Amino acid sequence: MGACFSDVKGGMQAVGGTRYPPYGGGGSSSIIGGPNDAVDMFYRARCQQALCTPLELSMSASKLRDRDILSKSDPMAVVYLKKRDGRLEELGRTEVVLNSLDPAWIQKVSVSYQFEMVQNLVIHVYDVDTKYHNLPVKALNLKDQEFLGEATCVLSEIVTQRNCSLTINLQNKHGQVGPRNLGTLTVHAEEPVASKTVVNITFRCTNLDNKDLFSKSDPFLRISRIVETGNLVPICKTEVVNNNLNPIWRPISLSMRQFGSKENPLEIECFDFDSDGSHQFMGTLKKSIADLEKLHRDRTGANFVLPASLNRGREKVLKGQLFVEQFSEKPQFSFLDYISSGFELNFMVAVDFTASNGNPRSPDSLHYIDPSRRLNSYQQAIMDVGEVLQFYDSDRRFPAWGFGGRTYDGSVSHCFNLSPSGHEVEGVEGIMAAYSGAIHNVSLAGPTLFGQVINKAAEIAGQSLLDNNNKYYVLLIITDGVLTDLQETKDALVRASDLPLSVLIVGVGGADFKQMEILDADNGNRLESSTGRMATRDIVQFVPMREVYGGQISVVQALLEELPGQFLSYMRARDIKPLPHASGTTV
Amino acid sequence: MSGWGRQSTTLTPPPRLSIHAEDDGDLGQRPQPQIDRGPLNRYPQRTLATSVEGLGSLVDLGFGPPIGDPNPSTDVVSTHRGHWQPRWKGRGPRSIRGMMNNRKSDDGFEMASMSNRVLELTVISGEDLRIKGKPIRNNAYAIIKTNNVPNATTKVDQEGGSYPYWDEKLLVDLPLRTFFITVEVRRRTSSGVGQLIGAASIPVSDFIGGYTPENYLHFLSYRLRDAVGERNGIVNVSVRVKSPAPYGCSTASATQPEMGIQSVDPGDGRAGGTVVTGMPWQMKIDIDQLKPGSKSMSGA
Repeated sequence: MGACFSDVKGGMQAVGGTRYPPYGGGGSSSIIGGPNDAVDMFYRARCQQALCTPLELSMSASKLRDRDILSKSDPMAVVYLKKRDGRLEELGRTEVVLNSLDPAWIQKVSVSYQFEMVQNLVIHVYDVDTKYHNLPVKALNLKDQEFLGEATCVLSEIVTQRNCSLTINLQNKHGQVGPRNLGTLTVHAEEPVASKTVVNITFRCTNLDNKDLFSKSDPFLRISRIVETGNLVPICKTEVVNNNLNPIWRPISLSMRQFGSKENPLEIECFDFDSDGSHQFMGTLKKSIADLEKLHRDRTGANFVLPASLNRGREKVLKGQLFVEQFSEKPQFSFLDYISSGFELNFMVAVDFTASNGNPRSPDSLHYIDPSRRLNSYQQAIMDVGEVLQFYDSDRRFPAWGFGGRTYDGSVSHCFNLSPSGHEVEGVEGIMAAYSGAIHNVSLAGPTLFGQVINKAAEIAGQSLLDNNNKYYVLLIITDGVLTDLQETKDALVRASDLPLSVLIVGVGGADFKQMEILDADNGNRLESSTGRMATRDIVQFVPMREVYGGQISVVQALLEELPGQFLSYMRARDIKPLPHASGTTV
Repeated sequence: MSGWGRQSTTLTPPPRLSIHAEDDGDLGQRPQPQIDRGPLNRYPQRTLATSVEGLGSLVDLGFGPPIGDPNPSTDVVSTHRGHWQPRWKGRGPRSIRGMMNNRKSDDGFEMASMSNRVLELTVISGEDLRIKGKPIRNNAYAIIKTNNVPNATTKVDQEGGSYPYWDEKLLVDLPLRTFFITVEVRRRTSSGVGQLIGAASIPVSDFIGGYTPENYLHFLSYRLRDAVGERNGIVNVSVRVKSPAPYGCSTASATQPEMGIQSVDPGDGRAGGTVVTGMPWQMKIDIDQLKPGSKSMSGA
């Protein structure tokens, strides 16, 4: 690198691995460095980030109907995912359990858990006729079997139960009449441990080749997965260590999803950093995670090689060596670990009542309540987000505020209760009812201020810490306009970033939402308050409704996909662990 | 003091916009964030006030000249006085909190007089540290100061470059009537005296009082300012109060105004010492007088 003086801060940082925010977590290993948006977007595009969590459903039933004359039923369960249009997509089938009215199926059904969607499961139980017992279950025609019962539930209902088990009464198919007491079905959801394993590795090198003329090399490592075509897919890179031929890098974290399995070979390449981007190759070697663990246990090094393609057809063993200073492997607590142990997401909503929305009695108002019950944009946003988040709140009582409206006493309030009683409302229906009521009792005024509702939500989140730390708050702000208090809003968000709180902002109508995109710090600029304090983590997500309304991806998906990550960044930084499991408890 | 100076820039009158345009030109690479951070970028216009503080720091080190010009302080004070009222109004909910605090002032007073507090302060990392616009290459470390007295120091990060990583937990004594902790990030040089990269003031109210329990582990980040007040990187810390207060969060909240009242008397005594030191104490008196008005207004 020599005498170059250009700005290279982004390129010299560690990227990939299991990303952490720009501070070290208490007690956990982490990669420290500034944001590198280009590489981060690359990883996202390649689905390196875990967008969904694989789950395995195991099922059992009790007190099934006896459909055989001479023997008991031979039950089998089929799991479907109900699509938005009502169609059922089969996810999997269990095996047939012979002669049992209380089967415990062994075969598990795989389903991908997506936090940001309501995933409706439908499970049918059939009695398989004796003459089909020799056929594989995939070949069975379900129309030829005796229908025993149907169970429906939402996947998030299962994962929010203690021990992830949910018991449901079996029903007749929709529209059919018949006997009751069809028995019960118990569904247990489990996250495979392998998908949660994280390996923490500290690499050290000795006697690297010097590539710089007037100073020592500035080495960094890049770790790639070798895919079937023989190409390399980068999964991680260390930070650059300046002027050092015997570097020790900071620990990196790799998840099982990134390297596939412990026996998969990985390519570990060493480069000399150059600010013009043409990093000089210093050596490579092929090792699996299991090999690295062995290197660590034996305290031995592995020599880098110059591959044959760069050395006149012969592989050359170099003097430089790679050592594994630290190697630890442990399951990392996942979002579902917290949720299933009793952590909750508490929903709060704040609605814009400024005059720019238009007179609510006019059909072109954003607050117009259609007599035909078609939802306006505000109602749509409340419904979409609320129907997902309600499953994660045990009491389902939600604070609901408005801002920018002239309330009953004639003054303009920037944080007033939608409910006249001033209390929390019950369920998503309660929010909708309070909103409709407020529309008829509050005059639209202005200006648009976010600071007070954010401070109110932060106060609730902070006070919850006095009781325990198993609550995480999600504030949904729905607005049509441009902020008047941008700096006060930034100040409030910076203070709130130290609390268990996330803020979702939905923009409705056709206004210019540039200010919202500033608050949503996805562009890499951390929010800064007027006193110079910076946001500790990114807690804001903004989505303009017009871009996604009617499309395949709903508002709620765009809003909520970052929420588990924000939740985890808060918990892991403070080394908060899931609550201990109560053994033997089944709902 | 510098913290208030930053706040006051939000009240700069329209003629300053021309200066803001110049700032925008200087940082043309990021026009949009630049525009929206206008209030912060106007801060360099307060360089005089900041220089006073910076020079004070230099005086402590035995380098700078003594401070002789009272005019900048007067200007700063008038700006502070003008700004405080809108800020208080903007935080209407806090006035209710203030009333609650007053009810518990006796408890707060007793607790405050008991003992100092000890903080567990972990200096985690720094980001984008520069000297004269060039990223530093090595040897960054941090000093924690209370009441401008060095209290604790981290090790030197010899490898971290402009993104140093210390993750070092320090025990910091927090004397009574301390309102700020200062984190100075420096670079070790061959002469032995650390070269200042930037400093940040952490208000004690960011981790004591407010919404959270007394022993809550706070993760905080602050913009660093170099010797002439230019923005220079970020420092990330975590803070936990080590000695839990016997009366819990509300008592800790009540401590703040009580300490404010307490500080007036020593301030009067110190006012004779230096011009700069005296002005903030008078500022305090003005703030205290403004508070009842704000409360009555919110009560109406």
